[in-house]
Amino acid sequence: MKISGSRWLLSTLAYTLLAGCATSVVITPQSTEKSPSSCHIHATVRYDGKPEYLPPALIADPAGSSPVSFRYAYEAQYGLKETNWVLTAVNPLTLVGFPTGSDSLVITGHVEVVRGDDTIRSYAAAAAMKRSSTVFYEGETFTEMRHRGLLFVRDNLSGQLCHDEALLVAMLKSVPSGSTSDHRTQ
Amino acid sequence: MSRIRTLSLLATLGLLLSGCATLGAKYTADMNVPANRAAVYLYRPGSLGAAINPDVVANGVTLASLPAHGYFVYYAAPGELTLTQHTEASTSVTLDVKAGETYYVKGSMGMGFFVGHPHLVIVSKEVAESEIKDCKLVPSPIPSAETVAAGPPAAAGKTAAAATK
Repeated sequence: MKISGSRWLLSTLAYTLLAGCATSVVITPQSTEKSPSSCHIHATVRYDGKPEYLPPALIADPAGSSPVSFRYAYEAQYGLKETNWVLTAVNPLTLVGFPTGSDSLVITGHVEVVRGDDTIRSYAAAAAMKRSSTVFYEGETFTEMRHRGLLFVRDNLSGQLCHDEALLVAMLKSVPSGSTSDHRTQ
Repeated sequence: MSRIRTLSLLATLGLLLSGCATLGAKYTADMNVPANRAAVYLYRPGSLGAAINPDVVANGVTLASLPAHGYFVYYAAPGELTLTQHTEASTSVTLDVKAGETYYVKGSMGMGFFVGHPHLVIVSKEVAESEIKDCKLVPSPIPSAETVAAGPPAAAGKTAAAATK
């Protein structure tokens, strides 16, 4: 009984130390029906980041002849919150993993369907991530969180594009009529 | 007994001052950024953990240490740039660097179990300018973007050796 009690105590302590350090992620909008890589839309794509972060539904076609092109960009907003060090130093719970601060990161990605200078349709996705740190463990770094957030946003946008695949392919094939553009935002 | 007390006091004073780096001039915006580079300001406005000055590393190459109330500028090449610091814990931020732009990375030190935990975070120009103005220049020479791109010296040596085989 004594041994199992010690094991229980150690397990609880270990859980307490690490439980608060996992990164929480909230992705908007909610995932669409199709899986991210289930469609391929060949078009001119304007994007100057790492290919790994481009939604896989978009296949860059430099020789594309359609006047419609896709533009992808993302941005990251960082937040760092540190508990006052005096409070941390005098708080006895610090030694059992009480949080000493938190990091937050919001990644937003935008895909715009462009004809000339007009944006005729746009898609957006965001991944909000947050994690706490303790004196024992910092958890993921901002670099790791950014990488994961960009992948979440990439896959979410890919799903949204695949949901509208037929419409987007029709747009790519259509000839501009000279009438005003239809601005739709997802 | 008084001798032991004196030695203890001197040792404590030495420990306290050992982390204090000699810093240069107070902050001024750098106007000499090369045309195809971006200016990345790294600064540390706080005093907590002043005895601990972990190096800022990019691509395995040490840029400089970042002492309390210090700052330095790195001219980064366009592309992804990952900056890290390491004590008993690691911190890392990645920037999408574009030529002609200016970026600000704030360093700080948090509580750790044995040693303080470094933190790096990308901040806006407005936040940085209000905090960096009281920082002083770290006098160390900062490696160029080409040196960083080549990677750490051991890797560069291996690459050269492989190329000559």
